[in-house]
Order: sequence, then structure tokens, then C-alpha cells
Amino acid sequence: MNDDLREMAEGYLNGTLSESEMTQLESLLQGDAESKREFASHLVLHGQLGLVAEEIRGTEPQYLPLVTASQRDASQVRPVTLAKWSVWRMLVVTAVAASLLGTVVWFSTNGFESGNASESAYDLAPIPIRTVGYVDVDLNQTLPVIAGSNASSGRLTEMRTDNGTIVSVASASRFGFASETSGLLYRGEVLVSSLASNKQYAVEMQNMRIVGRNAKFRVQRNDDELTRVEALDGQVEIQTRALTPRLCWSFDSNKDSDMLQPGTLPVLLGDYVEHVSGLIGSGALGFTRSSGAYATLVGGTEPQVGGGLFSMSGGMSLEAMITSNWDGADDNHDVIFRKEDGPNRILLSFQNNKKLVNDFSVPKVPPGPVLSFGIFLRELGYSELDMPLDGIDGRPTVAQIADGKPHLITATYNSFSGIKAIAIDGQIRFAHQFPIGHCIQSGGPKPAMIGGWRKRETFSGVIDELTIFDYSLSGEEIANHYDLSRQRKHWISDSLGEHDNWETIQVLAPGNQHELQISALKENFE
Amino acid sequence: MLPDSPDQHAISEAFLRLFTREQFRIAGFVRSLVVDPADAVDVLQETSLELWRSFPQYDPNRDFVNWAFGVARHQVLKHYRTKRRDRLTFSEIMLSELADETAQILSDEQPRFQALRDCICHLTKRQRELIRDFYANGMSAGEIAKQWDRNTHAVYNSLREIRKQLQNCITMRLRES
Repeated sequence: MNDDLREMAEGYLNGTLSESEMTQLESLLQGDAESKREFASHLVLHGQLGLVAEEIRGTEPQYLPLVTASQRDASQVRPVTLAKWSVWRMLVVTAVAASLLGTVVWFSTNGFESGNASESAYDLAPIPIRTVGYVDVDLNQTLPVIAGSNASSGRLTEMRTDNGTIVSVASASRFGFASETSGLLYRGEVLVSSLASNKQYAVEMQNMRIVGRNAKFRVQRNDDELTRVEALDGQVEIQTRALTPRLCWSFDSNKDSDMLQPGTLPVLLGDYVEHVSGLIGSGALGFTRSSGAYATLVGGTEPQVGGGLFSMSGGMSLEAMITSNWDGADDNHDVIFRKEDGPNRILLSFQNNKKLVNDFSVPKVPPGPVLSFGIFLRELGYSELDMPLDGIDGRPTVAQIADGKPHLITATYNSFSGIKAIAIDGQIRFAHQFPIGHCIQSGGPKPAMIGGWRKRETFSGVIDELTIFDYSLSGEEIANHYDLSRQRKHWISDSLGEHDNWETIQVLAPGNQHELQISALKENFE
Repeated sequence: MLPDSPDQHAISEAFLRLFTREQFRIAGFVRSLVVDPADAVDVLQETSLELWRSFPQYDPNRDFVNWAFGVARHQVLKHYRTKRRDRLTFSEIMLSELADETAQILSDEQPRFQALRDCICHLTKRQRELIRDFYANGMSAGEIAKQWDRNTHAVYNSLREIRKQLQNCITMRLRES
């Protein structure tokens, strides 16, 4: 293959050819059989690399299937085996299996997140994802269901958790398998039986949940207005969220003993981080621009994604008071919070990739300084909401952020509304609507960092009142936090961690039904 | 479509037996002609379903792979008809001709595929990691650039060099054999 043809072939594969180059390439191939054969050979190489690449994962563990089926009588899908099957092979067989069964149940791309652990600046070592239960494929085989995966459409899907709770998701439903003890109902119907397990299982719908222990209950949610709960056996409770965060740090004390209270984790300070006067309360963390200016949170991790205190599912929010000295310069990133579990990372950071359009941006924004909120959404992958700091439509400029005054930064995601948003000083300034029903996939073994990430991307300024919620904050709550911050008051209760995050509002006896109005769950920031 | 009679069950088994044997080649055909991996997945799924739906019309005296390539080619053309506004692509005539060439190359794919496996072993560790990220992990050049602290152009250059090395290596091995 000559160099000109190779260049054009590469451009074709990369999608970078212009219209005139495309015409030129077609003319070349049209008039030259040898070039056409060589070009086709190049395409075949590309195609076969896509197939064989699975085999060069080295030490990575084997795949789990992309698509599986739930019918017990599905003996005809025996070709689906766990070992040595690439995603491509899985796709083909399972697509056929799906058509045979009339079932489309999407669980996971695989059970691991993978990448380069040795040479990349980012640690993308394979991290297994927590298994929360199993589905039966046929009489001889069960397949694991991983945290955050969804059952959607198709026929009845029946999952059983390790402790024996049976979760049956009806057709045309969307249900997220959040953990071994809870799931998220976006639409449709789910039947839960923990009669054999005597364990608790909760069906969550944003700030409400239905809980049964040693019980059997059905939840139907066929539109946004009405949810029907039916207690079939045992005692079933309807609960509301107590609206307390999962973790928070006021940084008012630098005593280790105070850092071991419920609802917080000890903070290990880097060389260039120190306790300074608080923006709220008596203390905060001060970061000077240096490669060592970061703080590490000790604990809250687990070996698997989907585990630990930083594992989120239906929604999450990150909030911090800051003063920033960020200059907005190209390639200068100032991290507020980062947990780097490969693509399952959680990120809140000022960034500027002036020369590079950020491929992670959803929605796409022009290159330039942004405040970025990154999370991994199941089925959609890792993406960043990059709020341009351009002074347009109520968004601040870099100068307005780095004006020496405290600012409240809030980032939030709600899988029930699909809205991901960033607020500055109590007001939503930038938001994006994702499809409804995509769980967050996060958590895992890597330590969470404040104000930097390893020795790179260090924050310059002060960080205070860092708070992590395992649910989305409403516009009203965000505004309320800002009002309290202006009065220099903590907005998080001192009794954090001393009570359950859920409060029972009603108990249903067997045979009882209850209907809930949950239209308030739908939050629209616009 | 659940097979609910003995005849249908036999048809299902016959289909799965043939399909399981040849699916890798069919996937290679689709993946070669549909460059974007996500689009290729869609086309392959449609192809798989269409093969299943059309299987009652399949003549067992015909070569299954050729028949399957014909169905896949139809799906590829259908895909590009709907995608033409989003991505620059070839005319339908040229796409058909490339499909013919691809089918011809893949008609004897085993030696080529084995050569590719062998040649990959001669790449550097870094090059294999790039292949893994781009092809197996489905990362775009931009995503790899960001994660590896490179620019996108450098990633494209590396991919070009890898494909060139592999193509030369495969050609040499096929000649030797």
C-alpha cells in the first residue's frame, strides 16, 4: 500500500477525511483494483483487530456476558458460556438468544473495568465490580448481576441476591440493581420476596423507598404521578429519606479523634496543606500551589466498584465552599474532589484543555476553562458535565470564581430525572438532561482525594464544608444551603450519622395497599 | 419468537449450530465495513436477528457464510443509507464493491487471523495496550490521549504505525506460508 492510500485509509478509519478527500479516495479505488483490494485488506485488519483485541488483555479476568436472558426454559441458549468469549461473540449469540426468547435484559458489558496500570499517568488497573445477585439462564447455569446494572424491557427477570431474596422485575419495566439490599424502580413493576431470607430489601424511588424484611411486596410505578405499593406477606414499610449526607467534613477540628466520628473519614494532609481559618466554622483546608498540595481521605473504600462509602447509585451530590486562586490557564487543573477508580471516577475540578476538545464532555462545550463534574453512568459510560466559565447565561467567569470571596460549589445528578447540574452560590448555572434510569457506578479501592490528585492537578485556595450526598439535591435545598453559608452557618446537622438516613412514614400490614403521589420527585431546574 | 414445536426447535438448533461456528467471521465482515464500533454493534445485532428471521428461507445446499455475508451486506448498506447525513461515506456502488472484496478476503480468514495473532505478539507492550484501549475497551483516540497525557494526533499516529506494522507482518507471514 502506498503512502497516499495509507494516509487516506487511516483518515477514513479515523473519520477525519474531508468531503473532497472522500471523493478523491473513491475515485482512486474505482479506477484501481489493486488499491481497492489493499484498502479492503486494511478494513479487514481494522475489523479483525476489533475482534482479537479482547485476547490481548493480558492478566485481565474473563468477561461476563453483555446480554443474557432470564427464562428457565432457555436451554437453547447453551452456546452462551462464560469463558473465552469476546464481547463480540457474546453480542452475536446473545442477540440471537434474545430474539429466540423475546427477552432483552441488559445487565453489563463485563464484570470489570480495565485499562493500563503500569505506564499511564492514570491508574486504570482492572477493578472488579461487585456482584449483587444472580439470574438463571437455564437449568444448569446462573449468571452474576453486577451493581448498577439494569433490567429493562423484555420478559420477567428474576434475580436472587446472595441471601436468598427474590426480585422479579416485570416486562416493560426499568429497574436498577443498586446493591444486594436495594434496587431502583424507574418504571414498571417489581415483586420482592424476602420470606426465605429474613433479610431486608428496599425498592427506592429517589427520596422514598419501600422496605420489607421477611416480607413479600409489590411496587408498581407506571407513570410519574402514582406509585402503588401492595403488602402481600409480612410487614412492609414506606420510608422517606432523612436528607442527611453520607459524608461531610467541616475541617473545624484537626484532632484525629474528631475525624473518627460517624459520617466522616480521617483526612491525611499532604506537605503543602494546612488547617486555616474556616469559611464556615473555625477551620478549613488551605492549599498552596504545589505538587504536594492534596489531602487523602482514609478509608471508605472496598476492593470492588459498587462497594464502600463512595458507591452511589440513584443519585449523588458534591458540595464545597471554596476560595480559589485558579488562573484558568491551559492545562492547569485544580481538583476539588477526586476518587480515581479508573473510569468509575468521581471528579469535581476546574479544568482547561484549551488545545483539546474534551471527549468526555456531555454536552460538548468549546475548549476553555470549565468547572467539571464527572461520574460514570451505567450504559452511558464516564462523562463530565463541563460548565464553561464564560460569563454567559448566568455562568461565572474565572475571574469571578477567583475573586478571593467564598463560593458554594454544588454538583448533583439524579437518575430519576436524568438531570446532572452544577450550581454556584445556590443557583443552578449549567445542566444536562440524560435519559432517565441510568445508575451511577462508583466506589472501589482507590482513596478519595481533596484538593489534588496524587501530585498532579493541585488546588490553590481554601476548601471547606466538603459534603457528599448519596442522592440529588433539589434547587430549593441548594439555595437553602447557600443562604445558610452566607450567614456562616453549617448546613449539615451535628448529629450526622447518629440516626438512620430513612424515616418510616407508614407501615402496611399484609393485604394492604397504598398509593403514593410522587410527582414531586420530578425536579426541573429550568 | 419461542420455538414451541419440534420442527421449530430443530430449526433453532440447526441455526445456532451454523451460526455459532461462523459468527466470528460474520462479525469480522461487519466490523470491517462499519468502522465505528458502536455502529458496528448495532449492525451486527440487526444482522444476527435478520439471519434468524430469514433462516427458514435458507437453502441448506448453499454455503452458510456466503448467505450470511449477503444478509450482513444488506444490513451494512441499510445502515449507511440512514447514516449518510452524519458521516461521510462511499457511494452505495463502492460500498458494495468493498463488501465483495471483504467477503473474498474473509472467505479464507483463518490463516490471516492467525497471522494477525502472531504479529500482535511482536508489538511493544505499549502498542498492545493502545490496541486494547482503542479496540477492546472502545475508547476514542481523544479519550486515550487524555488518559495517557498525549494529544489526539499522537494517538492517531501511533495507531497508523501499528496498523502499518501489522499489515506488513501479516503480508510477510501469508507469503511465507
